Amino acid sequence: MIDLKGVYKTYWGDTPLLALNNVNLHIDEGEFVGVTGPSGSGKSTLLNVIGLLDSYDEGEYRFRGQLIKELNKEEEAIIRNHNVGFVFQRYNLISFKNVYENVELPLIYRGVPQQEREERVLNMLEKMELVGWEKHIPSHLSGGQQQRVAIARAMVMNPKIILADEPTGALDSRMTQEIVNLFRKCNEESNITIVIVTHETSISSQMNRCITMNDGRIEKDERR
Amino acid sequence: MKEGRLSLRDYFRDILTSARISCRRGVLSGLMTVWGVFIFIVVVGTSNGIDRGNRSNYDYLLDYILISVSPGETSMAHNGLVKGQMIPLTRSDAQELQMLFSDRSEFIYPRKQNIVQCKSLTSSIQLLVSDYRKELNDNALKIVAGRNFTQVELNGRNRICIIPETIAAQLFGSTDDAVNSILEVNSMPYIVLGVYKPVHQININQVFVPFETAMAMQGIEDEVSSIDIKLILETPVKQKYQLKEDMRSWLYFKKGISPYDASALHFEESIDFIEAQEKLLDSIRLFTVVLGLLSLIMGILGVSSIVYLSVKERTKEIAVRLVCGSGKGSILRLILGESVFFMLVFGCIGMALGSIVLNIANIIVEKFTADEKWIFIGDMTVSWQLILSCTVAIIVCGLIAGLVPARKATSVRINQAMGCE
Repeated sequence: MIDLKGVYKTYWGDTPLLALNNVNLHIDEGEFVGVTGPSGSGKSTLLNVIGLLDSYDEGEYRFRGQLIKELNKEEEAIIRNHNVGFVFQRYNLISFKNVYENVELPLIYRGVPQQEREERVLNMLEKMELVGWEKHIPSHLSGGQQQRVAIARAMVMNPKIILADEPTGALDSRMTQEIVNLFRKCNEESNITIVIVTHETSISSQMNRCITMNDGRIEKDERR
Repeated sequence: MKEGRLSLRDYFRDILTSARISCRRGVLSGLMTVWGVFIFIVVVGTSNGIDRGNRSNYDYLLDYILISVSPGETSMAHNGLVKGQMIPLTRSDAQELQMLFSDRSEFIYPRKQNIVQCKSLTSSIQLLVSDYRKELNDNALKIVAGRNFTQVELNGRNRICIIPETIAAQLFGSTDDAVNSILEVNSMPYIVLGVYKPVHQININQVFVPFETAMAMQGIEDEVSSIDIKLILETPVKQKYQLKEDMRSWLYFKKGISPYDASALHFEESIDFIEAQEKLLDSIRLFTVVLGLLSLIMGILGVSSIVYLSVKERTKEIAVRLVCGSGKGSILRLILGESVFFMLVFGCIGMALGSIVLNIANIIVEKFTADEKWIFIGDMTVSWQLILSCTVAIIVCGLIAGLVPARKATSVRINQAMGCE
């Protein structure tokens, strides 16, 4: 599903930073992958490149067989919308839209008719145990609830892969476990590929595959 | 619907939601836009008022006399003429000019103006003596009751006259009653043949009498006050000046005046006056356009600053939209839509306020200038066409105002906006 061969990425600032250094990675459909490593090791850059949020300088990247370099920005947006769900540490919900509208947003951009949108959003909110919170704006919700809204937004499009960047970084341990369980449920029930970037070994140890990064390279790639 | 785009319903819903949020922080900038459009409307209205007011003072000239020759004094001795000698103009001069230049002019007629007393009227009247049949037929002065002179009457020394509505109302109560009534001028009775509608303040006390009649009854001599030449309307400026020069040369030659004498005969051109007035009005119009544009730029800046601030504060939201599958074009349309929305809302408030102020100013100006002979400022109300054009201009301005913020919005780097490393 994800195929990276010899991928390089440099951030050109005052002092150029090699964020990805000859990365070779293959992820199959339905995998539950954790990416760990120290700060600045290139975890988030890898996730951004996989999720088409960032470009790469050299190498080859194929997403479900499609060579990404050949696509323009609009085509990338369509692939992202059809296949990839994102979950971020800071939830990144739109503050003035309520829970329902936040979850509905990707469906609107996909052009899903309103009635179908309503069904899918309510169904997803039920799965995420957010029934009754539809009309609330994000600031009325706890951190765990906001992250569940973010996961619902990522899941509502039935993506092939969910990319989560430190999704539990702002949560306490109880909430953290709740969110990890939610990801596992998505993986097992819907066969969605999950890639989670995390610092926490307690989380990475629960993944079926753990990739450790250092200085932009994949240092270890363990399957359990 | 193309993917990555909002449906029309969702598009307007998003614009309204964002506008509601931005509006709270953008009220001051919005007031700047209101003020800009308000000033634009007031300036355009005032300029229209000046235009209409001034035009009403000389509009009648456009269909009227364009060159007028009147007697003068020689400034130098020449051909038996001494310096300071009066050079008279006569009816025969006019008739000869008519023969020579009829193909290049609409009509040429002698005119004599006498201030005379009229029984039953407190103020004096101006007796206009000329071949008035043509002048009255020329739509410049319309007969509203009775009829015009016939050619036989013009040559027949009949005691007949044509009077303005104003005098008819004062002496006879109505225009119809005035027809066939007797008007006494310098103790001489004249039959009122017709009543005409004055087109300008100067007409309100002008009574028309045929030349032959005036010569017989009022002891008026063959000399005339002026010879008026009406040009064919489409005459180009160059030909007009050529005609004037040809007439001047002919009259100077006939009367033995030195070609270098500038004051022996006076040539007045109403078209020069009109051109001077038009130039003045053009300058005012140009000033209006510049001031109007500056005001609109102020409006654009106002809205642009609201939208720019809005985009700056909503970087994360824009990034989220991009992550959720929005195309950059969709973001661009959303921001431009917001900008046009703001410009329309604040612009319409500005237009409404400007129109109200102009209407009030109109009432005040009308009240204070009702009796003025020379109108400086006329109707200031702005037309629907202008309002419509202004609305279109506002939409265009909205697009311009949103352009920079929209470009900024589409250049958002998703990973940075989301707080990634």
